[in-house]
Amino acid sequence: MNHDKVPIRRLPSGVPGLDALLGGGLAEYSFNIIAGEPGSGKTTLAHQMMFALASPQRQALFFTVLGEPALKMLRYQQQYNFFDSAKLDDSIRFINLGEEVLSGDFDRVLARIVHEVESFDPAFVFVDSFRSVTQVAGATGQQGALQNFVQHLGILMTSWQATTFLIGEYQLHDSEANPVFTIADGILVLAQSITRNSMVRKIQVAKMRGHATIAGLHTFRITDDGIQVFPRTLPVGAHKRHANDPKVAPRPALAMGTPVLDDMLGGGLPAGYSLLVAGPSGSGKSLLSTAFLEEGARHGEKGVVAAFEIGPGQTLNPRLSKLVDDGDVGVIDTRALDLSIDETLFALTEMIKATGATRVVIDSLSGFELSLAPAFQEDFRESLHRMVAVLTGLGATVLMVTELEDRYGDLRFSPYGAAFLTDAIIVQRYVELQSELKRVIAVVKVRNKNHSHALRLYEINDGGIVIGKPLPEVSPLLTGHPRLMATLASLAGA
Amino acid sequence: MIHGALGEGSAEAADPTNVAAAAVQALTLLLAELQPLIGLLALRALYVRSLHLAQASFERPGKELESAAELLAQLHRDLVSRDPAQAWGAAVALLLALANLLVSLIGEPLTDRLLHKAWRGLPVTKSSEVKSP
Repeated sequence: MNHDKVPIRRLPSGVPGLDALLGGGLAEYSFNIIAGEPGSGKTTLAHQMMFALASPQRQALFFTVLGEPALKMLRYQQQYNFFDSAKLDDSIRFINLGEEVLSGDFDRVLARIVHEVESFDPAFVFVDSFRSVTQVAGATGQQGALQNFVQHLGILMTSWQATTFLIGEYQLHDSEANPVFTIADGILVLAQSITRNSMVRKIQVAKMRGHATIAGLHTFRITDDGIQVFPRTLPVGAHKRHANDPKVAPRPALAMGTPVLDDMLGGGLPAGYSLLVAGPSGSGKSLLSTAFLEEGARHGEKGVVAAFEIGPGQTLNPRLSKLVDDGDVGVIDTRALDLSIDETLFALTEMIKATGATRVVIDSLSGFELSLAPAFQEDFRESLHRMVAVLTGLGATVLMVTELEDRYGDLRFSPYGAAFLTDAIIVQRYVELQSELKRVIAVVKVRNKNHSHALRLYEINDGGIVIGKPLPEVSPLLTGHPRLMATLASLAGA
Repeated sequence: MIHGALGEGSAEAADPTNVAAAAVQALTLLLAELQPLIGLLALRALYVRSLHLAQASFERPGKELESAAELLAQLHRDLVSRDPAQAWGAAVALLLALANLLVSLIGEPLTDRLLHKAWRGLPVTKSSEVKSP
């Protein structure tokens, strides 16, 4: 084992979420490509990093080539909050290479870059758009010269201890970009896709020499503050969750806040479990979840709710509002209709970490799916699985509400196949009993735990859900038109 | 700031030769700051646009004039050929047009920084004086 390996310093990128993808930050002295189609946010990403990294002691040079004119770039980029005009000149300098590149003479381009780098001694160098350089090379039949140019540029920048970023309108499998991609230490690829009325932006670390990164596509959003990346959060240590793990067994049981329900669950819900509450509209699912959060508050446990059922202009129910006002429960903003699972998961995990919350409510999965951009609805089930694993991996107990159309004789718990993902399931149904519409509740599943299988009537009053006794004299309830057992017996005897 | 860059003279007392020299010096300094930033092509376009906006009957540069020095040499000849009040007015109008053009494109703070940096060796006043001609 080599204990004398050179340490690679990680530089904070200044882009929220990006450092997590990069395994801790940008590698110092690395030679990187920022690739992506027009409008994907390449220049914004480069500027955001530059304004975060540059200082009078560690200056940045930004070479503009033939892409976006420098005046326009300055005009638009200064709209972002990260753009700090006080850093211009002392920390950041813009240089236009248009004439050198248009000449098609790569020696001249390199000579100009060398001159500026030697004069300014920058710690960071950006070239935007580098594809203009390669296109000129292609037009003048100088692919070999381009490769030499890129090679020399890489050597020069590394020798001058400059962390470098070439920005270009490349695709990941763009053959034209091969010489550039081969030499690069790191490749960040930005992409955007439009499905129906929503646009989704994704970033990928396609290559990063010297350290591990989080693979795959990660969503990001561009706001007035610039780019924020939502890393595709993976569950930590989920594979270690087995019965013999002293960290997870035995689990304390949490009270649900609804009398009788704890007994039905076999003595409360084990902490760290995920619970699916399935029922038709008006069956009291949200009341049950509010009671779950209230019970936590009574025991000093913080909660978080992602309330997707609340539309613009609507408010939380009064009991939930009180929990929020008292600081016992945090609310995740779920108003946007182009969310990604990772964005929601990021908001949830940040709030859990900030408040120490141990009880999480997602109300409801139906609303959650509707609030997602169409592109994310396709892999909703897989993402839901990951989300539950991440949240429970953080030690939270997760209650998910799902809307269930009451189809008698069809005992389904979730349209998302979420039932098998969860550790416990409670189902609520409507039944007709003696010419009245009644509600019944049952515990369908509690993993590794004995629980009641009884169907019980329940009512909703001002205090919440009031669970009654089992109905041994009535069957079959779930058909929606049960009969008294005595009647059934007499029918059987006849 | 514009008057400061031209040497704090007055329209009546200005010698066209001095006005031309001061205007060319101010523009040389400013264009030297701008050219590395935006390139010669954009620089030439900005300058010609400023001549147009200044509405002072400036002679438009021909296509053969490619460098900033050639453009400013033509300006020098133009200003020297005018009477004192006209030379002064034309120089002020041109510098104001260029400054306001920059303000419209990259905003006052960045323009302000650029002008101060370019003209730091010249007597300057507050950038708030950079307003429409």
